[in-house]
Order: sequence, then C-alpha cells, then structure tokens
Amino acid sequence: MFRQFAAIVSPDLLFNAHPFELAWLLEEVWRQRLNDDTTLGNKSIGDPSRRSNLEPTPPYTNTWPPLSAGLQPILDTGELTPPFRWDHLIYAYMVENTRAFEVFRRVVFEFAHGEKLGAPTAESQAWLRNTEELFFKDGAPFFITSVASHLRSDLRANRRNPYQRLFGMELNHGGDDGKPYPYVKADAANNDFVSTFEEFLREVWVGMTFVTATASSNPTDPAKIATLASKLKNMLMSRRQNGNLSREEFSAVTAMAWFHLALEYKNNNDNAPIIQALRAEANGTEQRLFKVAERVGLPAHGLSKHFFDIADSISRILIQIETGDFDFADAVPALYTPVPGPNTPEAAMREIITHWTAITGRDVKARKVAPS
Amino acid sequence: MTKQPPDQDSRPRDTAAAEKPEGGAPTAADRHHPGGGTVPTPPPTPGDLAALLLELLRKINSEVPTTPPLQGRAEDAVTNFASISKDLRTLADGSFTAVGSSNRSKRA
Repeated sequence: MFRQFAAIVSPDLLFNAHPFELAWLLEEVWRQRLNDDTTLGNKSIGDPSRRSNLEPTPPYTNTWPPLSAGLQPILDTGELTPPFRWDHLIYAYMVENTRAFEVFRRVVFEFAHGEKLGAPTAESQAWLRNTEELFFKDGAPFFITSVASHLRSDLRANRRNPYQRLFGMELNHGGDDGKPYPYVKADAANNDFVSTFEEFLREVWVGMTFVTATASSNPTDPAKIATLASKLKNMLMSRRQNGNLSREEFSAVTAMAWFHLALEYKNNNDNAPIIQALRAEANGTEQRLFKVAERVGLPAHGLSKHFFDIADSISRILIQIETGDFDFADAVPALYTPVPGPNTPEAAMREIITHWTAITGRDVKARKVAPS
Repeated sequence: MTKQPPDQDSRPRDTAAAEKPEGGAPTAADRHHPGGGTVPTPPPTPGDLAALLLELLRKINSEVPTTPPLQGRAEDAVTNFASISKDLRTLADGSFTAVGSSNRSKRA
C-alpha cells in the first residue's frame, strides 16, 4: 500500500509523517476501498472488488482528517483514485521471504537498545518511530490494521497463518535461532495451491512457446488453462468467504510494502533515511537489503531479487484469477499472447515463470515426462 | 539396348567446351557452337545471387507468423489486467507527482 502512496507523494513525506497520520491514512484507505456492493455487480464478499464488509473507525467531522498537506494528495481524487485496491497476500509472502522484515526488526532492535549501529541520524528518527509504532506494536484499538490481540499476540505468526491457509506454504525461514517458527496451522488450507499453480504456469508456458506456431501442431490447451485458473480461483475464494482474511491481508501487505519501499526508494541518488543511517547505499533493492542485513548480522535470502521481482506480477495475476477473468477458454490466450503495452498479462506471466523457476528450483518450462 | 550416358572418367577431354571449368563463364567455343542453336544461359553472377537472396529474405520475412489478435474475453482480460495494474501502480511504475522529490535533498 505504501508503495502505491509513493506513486503520488514523495516517500520522504511518508517516512517523516506522524505515525498517527499513517495509521489514520490506512484507516481511510480501508474506508475508501473498492467496494462493489451493487446488485448489478453481484460480487460476493471477499471478491477482489468487494474484499470485506467490515467498517473502519467512524467517519470524521470537518476538522478531520488529521493529514498534513503533503499527504493529502493520496486521498484526493486523481489518476490513482479512491477507491483503493491493495496487493494480494502473495505479495506479502514473497517480500517476507527475502527476510526483510526480520532484518529491519534487528535494525529497530539495535537502535532501540544501544549504539552498536551508531546513533541514528536525525532523518532516520521518524522512520524508526513509525516502523516501531506501526509494525512492532499491537496497534491502536479499533484500527483496521490492528490484528494483534490477546488471542493472537504474535505479529509474525499472524502472517504465517494466512500464508498457510491461502497458499499452503511456509516462509523459507524460521526464527532467529533457525528453528521452525511456531504458529497456529489451520486444517482448512489450500495444500494443492502450489501444484495447481505450477501446472498452470507450465501450461501457459506451452502457450507462449507455440503462440506463433503455424507449421507445427500446437499443444496449447486453453481449456486446461481455464480449468486450472478456475480451480485456483475456487480454492482462494473459499478461504476468503464473506471477507475472511481481508484484514489480515491488508495488514500484511502494508507492513511488507513499508519495508519494500524503504529498500526500493532511490531518487536522484538519494536513499531512504534508514538506508543512509545504516550506510547501506547500493544499486538495486536486493543489494541494499544485503547491506542492511550485513550491518545487523542476519543474512537476507540469497534469491531476494527474484522475490522482489515476482511480487508485483504474481499479486496482480492472482487478483485477476480471483475475479474469474480466466475461467473461460476463450479468455486465456491473454495469458500467453504478447500485446503492446507495459502492463500485460503475458508480460506478467513471463516474469512469474522466470522467477518462480529460480525461487523454487523447479523448472516450469520443462515438459512433463509421462511414465511409460 | 538403351545407351547409357558416359561416366565422368570417359568424358571426351579434347574439346574446348570440355575444358571449360564447371559453372564458369561461357567460352568462345560455347558462343560459336558448330551445331548452332541457342546460346546457353550464363550462370548467375554474385550480384544476381545477392538479389536472389534478398528477395528470398523478403519473402521469408513477409511470412513470419504473427500472433493472432486477441478478441472478446481475451481482449477484456488484457484491459482488466491493465486496470488492476493501474490501481496498484507503485513507485517502480512511475515516479510520484508531488512537488519536490526529496525534502532531505533540498536541505542538503
């Protein structure tokens, strides 16, 4: 979410804002979320266009919102309007796999407990305060992003649970001691997500390979791709019934976007304040993460670049799969047919296939070998 | 009995035509063939070959398979994806529009 805000206002404004402003901003984004509850739209709660029916804090009077003038454009109707859409939970899963959250947890810990990393710079003070207030505290009561309670007090476990339920996947790292991280696992989980998604990628790759074929037989199977997309939609939407997991998703993607933005932000050779404070300037999001990780002595994941690069594409494609766009065989050519333009399903699928192969070590471009 | 063409070794080697290297330019003996008849077509020059090659390449290029245009639901899917991407546009997709890109830069 913060990365979307940064498309409108300077990341510096976000980093330097008061935490209450940021908490309120998130609350307001939830209020002004995409919410197609029309009879015509016929969207069930949990649909990408109608994620939840939960209310944010009550609307404010004219003296509100408590936003500084610099942040106000985020809520102004413009090119990037309200209503807001947020990333799919898979975005948070991919970014968290880089270990960015754990690395920055160490950063905040060290700055809060001593001067092992030196004294934080004046510019990084606001970032440190905001990070601790928003992502390492239980959160203000009644706010939509406050998902921690006496019943689920561990913020990190609170994200691992929806990852397991929606994708049947664990994060690639455990706790700081290397042991598996304890969290509550649900019985109702999409354990077939990975195998179905990989089959989907494999079939789309066949489509990409043969999309221009005229002289050979074309093994592309649009009906199978549509069936797999529909299967993915059904399993994901089953976990989202009546808006289930939407708050958890919103909370997770905003947290990961905050750290992603801090690493990604590079403007005119400038870096996020915390990156400067840590002397972790480098070229590339993952390289900055590696430097920060080195400073705090907790290695980031070696394939972080792939995790960062796949995050946006896979988030957008899964959102579209959940809308049911690819439930029909005559719609799936959009997944493997190149069309002009920067943001196309084909380009996103190509990116996903490349990085998924690198991350998992399973080559979805390879043909399946049938046992004889 | 059908007369077989002479094999290579038994070809007559005492005429000027026989001395002409294979594929070479026509010799005087060709042009003043005692039997008369048509003058043989000269073999293509390197220039002719280049032109032929270019023509062939042009033909191949014109026959490069193009992707079929998307229609109906597939076209809608592309539009919808662009719309989702626009909703989720980040700093990586396009820079922020606020005046002054960095307060810290200005202060520096």
